[in-house]
Formats: sequence, structure tokens, C-alpha cells
Amino acid sequence: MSIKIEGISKSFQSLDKELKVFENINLEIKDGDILVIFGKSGAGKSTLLSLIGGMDIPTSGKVILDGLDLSKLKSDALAKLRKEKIGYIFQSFNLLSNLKAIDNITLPVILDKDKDKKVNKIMELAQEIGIKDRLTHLPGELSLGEQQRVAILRAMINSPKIILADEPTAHLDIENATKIIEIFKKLNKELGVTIVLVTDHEGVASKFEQRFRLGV
Amino acid sequence: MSLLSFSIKNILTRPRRSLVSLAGICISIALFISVILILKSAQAAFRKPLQDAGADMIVQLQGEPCVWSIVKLPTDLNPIPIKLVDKMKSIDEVVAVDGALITWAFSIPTKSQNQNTQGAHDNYQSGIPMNEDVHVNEDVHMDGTPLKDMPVQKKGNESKGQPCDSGAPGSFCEVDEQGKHTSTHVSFSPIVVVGVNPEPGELGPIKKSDLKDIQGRYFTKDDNSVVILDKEFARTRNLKLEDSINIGKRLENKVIGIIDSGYDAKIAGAQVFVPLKVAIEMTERGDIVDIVFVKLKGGVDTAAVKQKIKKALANESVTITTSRDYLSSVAGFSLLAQGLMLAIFFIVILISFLFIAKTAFGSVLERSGEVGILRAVGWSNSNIIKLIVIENSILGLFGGLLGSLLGYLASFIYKANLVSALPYYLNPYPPCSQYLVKTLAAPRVGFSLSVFLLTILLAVIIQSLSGLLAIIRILKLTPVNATRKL
Repeated sequence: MSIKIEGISKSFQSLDKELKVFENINLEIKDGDILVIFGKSGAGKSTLLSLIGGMDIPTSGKVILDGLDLSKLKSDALAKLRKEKIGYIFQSFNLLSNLKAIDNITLPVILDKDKDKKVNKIMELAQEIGIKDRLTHLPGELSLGEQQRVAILRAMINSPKIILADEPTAHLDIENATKIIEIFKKLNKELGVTIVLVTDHEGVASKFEQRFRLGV
Repeated sequence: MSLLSFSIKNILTRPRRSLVSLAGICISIALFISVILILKSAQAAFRKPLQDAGADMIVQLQGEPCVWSIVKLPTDLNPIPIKLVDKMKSIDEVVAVDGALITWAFSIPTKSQNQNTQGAHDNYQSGIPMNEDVHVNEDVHMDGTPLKDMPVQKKGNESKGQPCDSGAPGSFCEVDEQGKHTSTHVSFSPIVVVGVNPEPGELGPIKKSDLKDIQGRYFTKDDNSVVILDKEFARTRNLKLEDSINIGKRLENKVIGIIDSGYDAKIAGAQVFVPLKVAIEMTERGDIVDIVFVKLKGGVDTAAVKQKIKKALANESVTITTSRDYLSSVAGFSLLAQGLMLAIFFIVILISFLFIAKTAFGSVLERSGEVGILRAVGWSNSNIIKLIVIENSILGLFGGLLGSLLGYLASFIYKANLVSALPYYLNPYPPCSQYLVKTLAAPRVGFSLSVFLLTILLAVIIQSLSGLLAIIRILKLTPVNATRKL
């Protein structure tokens, strides 16, 4: 699934001042590519990622996914797109504290009829990233690394065409971080999933060929 | 997993939040339902005596206490000539009029009655022993004076059945055929005897509809020395059908019926009922009644009718009681106070529902972050709305249920402490009455399925509507902005 960003700008209104996050960004990510967006903290990496995922509205410009202009889509159409095509990994995980890890993972498909099939599939991945034994715990009972892995599994449960990952390895040890990166690369290679990663870690960015630096 | 089971899971996995919401609904509904039930039951209790009499108005003439005699009108009640009752019937707004004659009869118990009363109800003063000595019952005089302080006339009045001294109520002398004193009897606990229409309609102390529960039979036109007893009076006196009872100077009146007037206060309720003509004969004051029941046409101006009745009776001191006056008198509510009560009632309802709405609204608004996540992972707005509405409906249902039960409990507790007496002018019983008088208006908090269901429905509607408004507000945020509130 290709991503095209045309002249996108984002600014926030803070009291009577307009805070520009970034301005006139043009970017094209081809179907099956992996792109790393990196830059310093506060450069707007997460904001750009949320705009790509249709989770926020740009001040100007367009985000086009597979020829589909996101600004033209209504709220429910965007939600459908996110559910079926996009896996989003939040920087702060955004797990629901009252639900067990397994319920958080299945949250996107909890109302689906083929939920069980998807759950079985994700269990293999859970085993692979070493979280399977912790799935009956509440997020508060998990380490940051475990929470991050739960968030990653949630993003992957629907076999998305695009994975948007905001600092997906930030809280992981080197071994698990490497595993996650390998999983992303495997998904990309075997299933042709388009992946956009955001990181401020040069080491992580260096592991990928296509990089986009945001900010100075 | 269905939306319903996910909703239940959400409620159960957030016990603190759910309990706070439930407590909010519970308190509001309990407040709402207890106010409704207490007001409803109190009003019903205060209106019941008039309702039971089938009347919209009670007309009485009040004045100075009448002189004592063996059968007298109750304190302060003055006679109303029957011809004036007929005059009331001609008033346009009046549908029906019926009069009754309430009297206090200082009876001469028969020997059998005295025997019967041995071991009867502890609170009942059994009456007068048939001997030559003056017997003074204990306690107080009907006007409230301690009996020990009352002057007691022994002998001396030569007229049979006349008071020995009008200033000494309760004592009278009997003389034999030769004009010689035979005995002196004193009773300070008169029987309340009410003369009623032998052809009952839908008005008065005994209505046609009351007769289905009568034990024995009701009066016929030709009945004379017969009585109908109140069930409780018969029980305390140990009297049965076919027994005899003395009332004033009328001896050996046969008991032909026993009627249960129930627990509630009854206007012109009596221990003994007699045909109206018998009561008239007993009082020896001509064709009179002392209480008139009036049924009006629907929606008429009661104030105007009151004026017409006063005009018909040509007496300004007439006391006319309507259900509203009764409420004022019994509950001590002025019109202003009644208005104030109504205002308080509506304020309570408003506050209750606003409290539910605010709790529900706030509780959903706190979940902006959660809603943001649901949207981020692809939940549609409609599914999120359904989820919130289902969750709030469940909370409303259980909160409403618990609140209703709590409200009923509070009403039952409150009701136990709320008992109101009939106003003195409608109460035919002497103050010294030892009989268990039915003059109390005791509110009953009955279970009303419609109130119960309606309250729960209201709780569900308000709770889910407030949740809906909150979720609509959250859904206006982008998922990213919503998750920032997590």
C-alpha cells in the first residue's frame, strides 16, 4: 500500500499563538517499502505519523493512501481504513488499563466473527516475541517492554497493509528490539507490508535503508 | 464477543468507576422515589377519610358545647335540621347529599354485657356495674378534666333518664313507677352512636359499596331496636350477631350486623350504627343531623358552592371541609406551604435527574482517552456509541433498581413515623375514649409497579442519554486528541 504526502503542514493553536510543527512536507512511500522517520525530539515525527494514519487532520496538505485522499473520508470510513489496512503502534502504548493483555491485543477485532482465527494467528507471534505467558495480565502488571510488545501485537492482529510504529523499540532491550525489527523486516519481505517507523535513535534508523530526517 | 458482553466486562473491570456511577444513580433515584412515595401516600392518607365517605364536602355546624344528656351530640357539634339538608340538594353543583347523626350515648350496660366485658380489651373501660352505688370510672372526663375532680351527683333528679345535674355529665338517675329512686348510673365512656340512612347510597359513613363485607345484614326501613356494630368494638365488647346492647335509654337493641370499617380514620365512624330515625328519637331534638356529606359535580368551584351552602343554611358559622381544607387542617399545610411543598418536590426531581445526568456525563467524558484508542484501532463511531449507551443503560438499570428499593425502604421507615389524627371537628370520639379509635390517617406505602418501572426506565433513559451526549462530544475530537486525555 503506497503512501503519498503532498505539501503537508501542521500547526497548533496555543493561546493566541500558532505553533508550527512542520511545514510543506512532501513524501512518497511506495507499496512494500520500509521508511524510518527520524529526528530530534519535538521535530513532529509522531504528529506526522498520526497524520499518515488518519488519526489527526493536517492544517494543510494531503495524505493519500493507495490513491485515497484521507481528507475526503468521513470518520467511520477512516476508522474502517485504520482497522483493515493500518496497524498503529503508539509511543505510549495506549493500552486500556482495565483489560488484560490478550483483550488489549484483540480489541480491534473483538466484535468480529472471525476473531478466533485472528487470535490463533497472533498467538504464534506472541510466542515469537516472548509475551505469550504474560497475556492474562493487566497492563499495569507488565513491564514497559512487555506493554510495548502487547501494543505491537494489537497493531498486527488484523494483518495490516501498513504498519505505523511510533518508537516501537524505545522500551525494549537490545535482544527484543532486534527481534521486533526482524519481525517488521520479515512482514515487509514476506507479506509486502509497508512500514513507517518513527525513532529518534540513530542506531535503529541505521538498520533501515530508507530514512527521512524531520527537522534540523 | 458481543457489544453487550464487552460492556458488562467494561463495567466489571472498572469496579470503582462503576460503583461511583451506581451510587450516584442510586442516591438520586432513592431520593426521587422516596419523595414521590411519601407525598403520594401522605396525600392519599389525608384524602382517604373523605374518599371513604364518598364526599367532596363535609358540612357541620359548630358552636358552644351542648348541654349534657344521656344521648348528646359530640362536643361543639350543633344540629342541622333535615329540611336544610334537603335545601342543599337543590344547589345546582351538588350531585348528592346525605346526612348522619353522630351522638355520644351514655349507655346502661346489661348484666350480660358487664360479664362479657370481663377480660375484654385491656384499654376498654367496661362500663357501669348495676348497683346502687355510684361508680366512677378512672382516667379523665370527655372534656379532659380528671375524673377524680369531677362533681358526681348521686341522687336527686326525679325525671327518669334525665341527668341528675346538667353540670355533672355522666350521672343520671332512674326512678321506679312509684317515682322512687332505683339506681344511679354513671358512665364517662360513652358509646359513639351514629344514625345512618337505612337506604345507603354512595355517600356517608356506610355506603352501599361497604355492604359487601358486612357480617349479618344492613338496616331495613322498618328496623327499630337493632344496631350494627363496628367489628373492633364488637370484638372488645365480645358481642356477636343476635346479642343485645343498651344504648342510652334504649335497652336490648339486637345486633343485626357487624361491619369492618378498617384501620383508617373514618369521618362519622362509629362504634354502633343505628337507623337515622332511631338516632333522632334518641337525641330528642327533632329532625336533625349533625354532619352532612356532599358530593359535587366534577370541576365545580368549591368556594362558590361553600357560599351557596352557607346561604342555604343561613348560618355563617357553618364548617365546610373539603379534601384541601382537610389536608391543611391535618397536615398543618397552608396553601402557601402546599405550593412550597410542590416546588420542593419538583426541585428534588430536577436535582435528582441532574445529578444522574452530571454523573453519567462526567463519567463518560473521563473516558475520552479510551474512546480515542477504540477509534485508533478501528472501532466505528456507531459501535462506540452503542457501547457507551449499553454500559450506561446497564448502570441505569441496576442503579435504578437499587435506588428504587432504597427509596421504598426510606419511605417505609418514614411512614412508620408519620401518623396524623383526624381534625377534632371530624372526629366523633370523645377525648377520653378508651376504645381503639380509628381516627388516625396512617400513610401506606404501597408497591406500585408502574412507579417502580417508570423510575427504572427514567434512570436508564437519563443515564444513557447523558452518556450519549458525552460520547458525541468526545467523538468530535480526532483520535489523537482524544488519546491525549488518557
